[in-house]
Amino acid sequence: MSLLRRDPQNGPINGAYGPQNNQFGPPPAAPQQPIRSWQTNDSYRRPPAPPPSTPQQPPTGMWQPNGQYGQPPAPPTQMPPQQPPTGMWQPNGQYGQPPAPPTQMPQQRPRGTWQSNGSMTDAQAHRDAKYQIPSMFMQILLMFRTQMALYSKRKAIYVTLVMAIMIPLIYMGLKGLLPAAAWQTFAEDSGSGMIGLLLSMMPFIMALFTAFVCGSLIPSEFTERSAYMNMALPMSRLSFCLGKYLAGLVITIGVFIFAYGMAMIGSLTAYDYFDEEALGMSFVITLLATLFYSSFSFMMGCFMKRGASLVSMVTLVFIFPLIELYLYANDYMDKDALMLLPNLLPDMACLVLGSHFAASPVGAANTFVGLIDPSQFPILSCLVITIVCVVLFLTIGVFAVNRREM
Amino acid sequence: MGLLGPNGAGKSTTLKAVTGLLKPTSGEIRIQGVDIRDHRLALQHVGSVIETPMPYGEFTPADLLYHVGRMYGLDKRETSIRSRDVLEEMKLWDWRYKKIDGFSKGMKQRVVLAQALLPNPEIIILDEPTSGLDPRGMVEIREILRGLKKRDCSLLISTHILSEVSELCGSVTMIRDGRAILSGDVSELLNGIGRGVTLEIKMLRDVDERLIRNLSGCEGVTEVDSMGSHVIKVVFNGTPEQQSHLITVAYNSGLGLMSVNETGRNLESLYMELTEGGSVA
Repeated sequence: MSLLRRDPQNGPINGAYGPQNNQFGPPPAAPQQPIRSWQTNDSYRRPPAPPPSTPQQPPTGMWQPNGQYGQPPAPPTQMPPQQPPTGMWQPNGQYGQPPAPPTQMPQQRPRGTWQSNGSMTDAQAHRDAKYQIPSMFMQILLMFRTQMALYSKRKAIYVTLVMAIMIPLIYMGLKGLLPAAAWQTFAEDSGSGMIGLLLSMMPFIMALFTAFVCGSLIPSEFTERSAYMNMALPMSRLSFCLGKYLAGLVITIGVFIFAYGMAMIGSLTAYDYFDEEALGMSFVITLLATLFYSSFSFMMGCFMKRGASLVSMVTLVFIFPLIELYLYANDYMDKDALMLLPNLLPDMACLVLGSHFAASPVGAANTFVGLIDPSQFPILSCLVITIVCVVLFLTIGVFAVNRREM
Repeated sequence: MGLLGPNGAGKSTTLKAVTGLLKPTSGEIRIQGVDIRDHRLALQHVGSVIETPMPYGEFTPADLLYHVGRMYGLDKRETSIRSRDVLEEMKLWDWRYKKIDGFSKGMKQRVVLAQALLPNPEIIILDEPTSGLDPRGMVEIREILRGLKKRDCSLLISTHILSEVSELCGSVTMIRDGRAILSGDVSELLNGIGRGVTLEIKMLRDVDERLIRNLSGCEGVTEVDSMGSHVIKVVFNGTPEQQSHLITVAYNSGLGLMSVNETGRNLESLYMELTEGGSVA
């Protein structure tokens, strides 16, 4: 701040003469004390004159934080001989011992909150740890994990697993009851044929299971009103949908792996071996079928608020096969085209193993008519068609959820 | 900021659009400068409770908060610490390992509020947080809402509890048919028009014409209504001396002055005037 200012009442206040204050005139008779303080009432005031008897001492002290020169603090007059002044210059202006090192580090962050211990403000407590929204991929995984946690707490999944155990047992009981000739109508007399027959309910079970697991993923979010919580989180709907779908897919695959295991155990009770190549092929076809069925059910669920599971199951089990049978019967479709249809993949998985029967209209017709020749199954073509369908279904489903207004 | 309006006015629709649950038919919405179409970034510092969501019934509050915390990008330890904070704040700490399915509606609502507060968002959006609750649940939530005022955050709330709005909110917007009909500071709205106070004067004996005439003649009195045989409602907009004189007139009427109840102009009366014709909330 410049001190060379004019007091409007008393003229030049610093006694300066010359260009500094832009005033002409005689110099003041005696030099005046410089103004040192600017008062808050916007007026300059002269500082009190020093006592005449006290000559002004040169500032020999330290420049203190309060803006005044002053003497350094006196050393302690009586220091214990065993405690030489080795301490630090403390902020309070005293010599003292350095603080003792902490004897025990805190084991963990104090429990409770900034509110209870008063250690910080709300803003400090939470804004200090700035969080970073996870990437879209991480959010898909998080949603997947949440959905898997939900499945783990639902009894329906465990009921399904128990059913998977029960079905082979029922078939094993039937084998004892049916004559051998009748048995061979439905399956080859081999270990693989036995597995195929034990899994012959797969077309129906897969449609049922994927419809209720994957078809209800999105509708249940709306009927249970949890979507209003999830979709208001900083997460894209794409992450939300894909995370949930992946969980449904994994659960479905897990259930059918379990079913395969049970069927193999059932087969080994009657036969010493089975065709591993056919079993591998059947398993790959089952994976493709699971992809197709689950994505279709998921897509149906994205469009509907209620009843998606039922519509999806009926479509997969009855409507699609009946239409295909109609087209085949009227020569709109030949056997080669029939084998390319992804919705018949569960039937194919059973037939590849040597079963002649599968629990769907096409599979049942095949028992007597011989619609499908498993040895001619074009797996690569079917793989491509299935993947295209899955991508299409998921895209449509996510698009529908994105467009969905709540 | 409080959002008020009758049923169908567009309160929930507005909040849904703000949180990205609905797409606006026109215009754009930005939160802290980020377009809401970029859902992840726009909502990263927002906690919301829209349309009374229900948390997963199979989950416990601890499970749910873990899911939400991880979704916001909090690590496991931070999620755990903050979960404890908010569960204690919501008085749910002892219930943290119980399934939400078994909770009452008020407790579920507290769980939902806990997930909204978990990341300590800079903006909290609440859509009728006391909707559908019994009186006890409403009292619980009301206490929590009072606690929110201490937080260093912006609060956008739509509620039909007008007293809460006037207590919690610094500003209020009243909407009707999708349009804002009044917006501003609560105290300015209440005091700006200067309609005075309403005095309810209760007499021991039946009110007669003479008393009503005398009261009407007092300075500052703008309206006198008889409410039943013993109570008179006086709308008064005058000085304290004039108000004192008015009470003296009632006292000297010989009908036995029992009580004088003064009510100021409140948000409810303003709200009812502006939304006349629509039901509350």
